Amino acid sequence: MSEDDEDARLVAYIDGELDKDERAAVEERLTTDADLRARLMRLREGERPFVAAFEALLERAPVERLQASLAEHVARQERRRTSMRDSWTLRTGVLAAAAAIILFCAGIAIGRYGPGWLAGGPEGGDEDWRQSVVEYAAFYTPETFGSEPASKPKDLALVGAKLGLPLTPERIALANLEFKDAQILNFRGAPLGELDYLDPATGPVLFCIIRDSEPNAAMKTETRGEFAVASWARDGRGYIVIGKLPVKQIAELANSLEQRF
Amino acid sequence: MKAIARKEVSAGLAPNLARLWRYALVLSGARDVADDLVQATCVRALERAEQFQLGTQLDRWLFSILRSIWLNELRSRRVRMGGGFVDASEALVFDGSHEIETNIFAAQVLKEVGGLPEAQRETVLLVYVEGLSYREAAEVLSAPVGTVMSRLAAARLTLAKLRGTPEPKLERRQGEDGPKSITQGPKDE
Repeated sequence: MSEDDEDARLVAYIDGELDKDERAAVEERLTTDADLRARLMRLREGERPFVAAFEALLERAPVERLQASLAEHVARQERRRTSMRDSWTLRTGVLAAAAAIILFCAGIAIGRYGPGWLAGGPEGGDEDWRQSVVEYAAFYTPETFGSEPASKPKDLALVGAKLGLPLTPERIALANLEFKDAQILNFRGAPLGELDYLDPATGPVLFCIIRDSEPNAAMKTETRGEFAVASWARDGRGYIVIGKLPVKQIAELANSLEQRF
Repeated sequence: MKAIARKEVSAGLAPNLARLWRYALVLSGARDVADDLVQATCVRALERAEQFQLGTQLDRWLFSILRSIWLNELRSRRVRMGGGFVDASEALVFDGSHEIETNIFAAQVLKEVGGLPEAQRETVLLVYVEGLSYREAAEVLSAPVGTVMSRLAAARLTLAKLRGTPEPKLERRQGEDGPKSITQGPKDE
């Protein structure tokens, strides 16, 4: 047994992690092996009052602040769920039909403009997340964010952390749009950041970023159903800007963001 | 079952915040990163609440999530952004001479553990502070039990050295110069 293995076994002996037979074997060797005894002694010298010392850190944890931000997150999710549920109840049948129509329109759009869209990703997987965003966006109304206070820079930073991008209010600001919320979603294991804005005239505008290592792609604009969509990919991240705005306007917003991402 | 798991996770987060933060601090060595790490852990735990296995210990599950966010997301970001690594031995000892005076032993232990490599630091925390068994720690660390053992052995040997315990195989030699003091000497102003 190497010295390292021997030390590991002795530590397990000290920590009471050996079974009865292993323990007996170590003890028997200790009675005759002076070197082993010296090693045991030295490992024991590495003991410290760990529990007591680390108590100090628990006392210093900013529990109140963490609790407040947890409560805020839960409340925001709850508001979001309620607001989504309300729009579902209000428009039950209509919504299902709308979703079908959007899917149908998207299908037509893909069929018609397929090469342009699909050329963005050789694996063909990039299309999926963009399509999901389009479908997801269809459920948003101005009321989705109506009563909510805008996300704090901290939320933005957290979303940014998951995407590996530093996000600040300045970096994501868009002219004439009110920034409302930032959240992180998950698309087949890839973090998908969603930044929500409200355009007073046309309603929600979404800026989404996915970290899924897709190849670089130049800016493309497109209409899908009632949405105008602009997308590009750079440095392993895909970007999409979507809203019920004229294509030209979405392109302007996207161009302004592309300069910053 | 899923609803119960969700309930258990959302109810169980608040009582674990301080311990999660401590783990985050031991990993990251920086308090602001520890804050972010705990918040991200809570968000992720709520998102994945349905995956929590009822009847298992929630704190272990949360530790695993926290660790994976640290390794996969925040640590690499710190390195990419040029933040590099902070010396955890500094971050684990709090500023303000008050604490250090009143709790000099705790401060000393934190400083010593903070000086260990990240992998040893977190293993010491999980086993010796949090009281996880080797097997439980191995699960949180996604490592074999043997790795837990060798990290603890390495940590103990380093800590023993700080106490000035000589290598057991070396003859103890008398009459030589004592160890050079790094704290007593005159300071260059």
